[in-house]
Amino acid sequence: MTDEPNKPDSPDAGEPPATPTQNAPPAAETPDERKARLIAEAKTRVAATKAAATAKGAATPTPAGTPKAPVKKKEEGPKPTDAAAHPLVKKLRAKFNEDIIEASEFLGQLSVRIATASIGAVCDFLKHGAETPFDLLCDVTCVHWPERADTPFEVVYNLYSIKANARVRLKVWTSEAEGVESVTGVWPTANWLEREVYDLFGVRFKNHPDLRRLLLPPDWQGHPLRKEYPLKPVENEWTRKHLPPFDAVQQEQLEQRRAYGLEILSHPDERRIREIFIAGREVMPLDRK
Amino acid sequence: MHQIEVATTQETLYDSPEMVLNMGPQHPSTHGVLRVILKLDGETVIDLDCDIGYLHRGMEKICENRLYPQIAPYWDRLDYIAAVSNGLLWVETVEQMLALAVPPRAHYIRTVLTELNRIASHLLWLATHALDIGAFTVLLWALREREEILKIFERQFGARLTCHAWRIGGMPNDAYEGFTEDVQRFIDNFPKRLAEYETMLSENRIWLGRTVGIGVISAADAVAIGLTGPPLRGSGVAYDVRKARPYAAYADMEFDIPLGENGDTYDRYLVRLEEMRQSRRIIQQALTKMPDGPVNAKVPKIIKPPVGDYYHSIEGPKGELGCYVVSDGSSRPYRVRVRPPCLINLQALRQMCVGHLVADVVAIIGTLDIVLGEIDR
Repeated sequence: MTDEPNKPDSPDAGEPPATPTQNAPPAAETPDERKARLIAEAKTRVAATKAAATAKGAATPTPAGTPKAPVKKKEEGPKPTDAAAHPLVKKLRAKFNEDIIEASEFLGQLSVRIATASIGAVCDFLKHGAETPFDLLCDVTCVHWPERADTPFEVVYNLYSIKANARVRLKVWTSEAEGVESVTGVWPTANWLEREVYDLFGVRFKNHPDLRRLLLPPDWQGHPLRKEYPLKPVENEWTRKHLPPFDAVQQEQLEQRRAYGLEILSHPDERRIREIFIAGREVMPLDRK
Repeated sequence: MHQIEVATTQETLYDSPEMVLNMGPQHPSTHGVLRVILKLDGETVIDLDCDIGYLHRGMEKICENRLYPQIAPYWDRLDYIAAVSNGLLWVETVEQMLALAVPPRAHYIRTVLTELNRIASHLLWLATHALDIGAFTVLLWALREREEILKIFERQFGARLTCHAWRIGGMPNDAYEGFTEDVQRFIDNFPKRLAEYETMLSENRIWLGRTVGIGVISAADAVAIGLTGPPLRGSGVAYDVRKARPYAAYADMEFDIPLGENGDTYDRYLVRLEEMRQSRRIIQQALTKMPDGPVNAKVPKIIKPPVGDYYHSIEGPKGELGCYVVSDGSSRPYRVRVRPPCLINLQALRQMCVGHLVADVVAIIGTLDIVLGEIDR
């Protein structure tokens, strides 16, 4: 340890006498003067490289700057435009007046936001429209916006008219307590679709003939497509009740698998994944960006 | 109220002529893990309820946590019989949101392979449907032809079922060397094979007895319950997304929409057979018109569609497969919704089965052509 700091010292100590003899021309230079000269030289060199770099930088930003502007524009992309002039919106406004809250067009697709209370009437009207009867209910789904405290759920209806080859999207904002009027009376298709929304989001549909969970077990707790629901195996009443207990042999198998890092690659049952979760191992990387 | 209380099975069994019968989830004719709870009077179905969700994987939830290109393989695992079609919907949705100009050659190759996939899907439907009803030979024959298509997929994509066929903006590779010859050979042989199936089934007395007048649904009912695809066209409603809102290269193709008249199982069988012929026609046109050029558009490295929501749909082999995406401008979708044609078609099962015999339930499940991977997501 003591040798190491000494080693660099000794060449340093040897150099100063060696270099002055080489750069002799300004005769009889004191070490201080020499150091000041070297510092000044270094400063000018640095300033020169800096100036060159900024000159280059000034030259390059202009070519780099021009493509940058359109890239920024692209990121903004097209924005939804107001579609109040659309004939269908006009027709709806004439009939339902203030219940048609907002109409927008995005990438050529029409979305109309409707007051929650009048969804049944609007759907009935659209289905029996003379020129564009929206006879096919393509889809009912929901989007969760937790930051909207009063109306976090946006129920979306995708309608299609076979005769007119036209599409329209209806949207209704609601909350868990408020719920939405069911449209099963207008389109029987809505039955299972609304059950699915109820299952995965917890939105209640009023006057639905058979509002049960569709995909998840009837005694499941929670609504997985809500934003606050985690994307990992969950441990709850249902899993405790229905999944078989873990015996010693299975535990050993799991530990062996874990030793090989195989638990995710081949899991014969869900229980094993839960074990991994309980043991504090992340099953799916959530934060990889 | 359609709910049938399974807990009261014993009671109904002994106290009334009605019997509750659980069919599935491990029943070979439910085409996966579908459980149908039948309420019977003797052998006649009075009421039924479907129990689904055994294969629920939370695919829509997973999509919210994946980058746009990472989502594509999940789509293959919905309707795993038609992975190529499903994958096409996802990449087209993202391409349209980004307004990418996909080169025409990519569109044409996509059309060829998607139609091949439709034939493969219909062949598997024919094989299993015929097997359910009792015609075993058709299974072997149809799977033989399907194998040829899967070989083409394997050469092109490196996989037979879950192909991950497309990329946003085009294709991972151009068509392999010998692609045209392989496809041409297949479609040259195919009409003969189809004719063979027809001799086996179309005028077969047992086949007619088991399918004609079974599971009838009128055009108005079919639209009201939301049927799409061959079940809707079997009832005589001419709605095909390929015609109504052409995607890929379908706008340049000439083809007919086969329609049924009575809306029964036999008509749906005829519609699907004719669809395979039309698919062959489309493939032939696409091969002859196939343009040269690149197969990939210029795609940004990080895919961030503009803020907004977008719905796009394609005519999958089972019906209208839709995709509704809500983008918040980030590199992951805010919400992805799959419009599963099988789920909505399966909803018609109750309407179609009531009044028929238990054995017909099998025929009707077959004619709806469901895949549980897509129903449960």
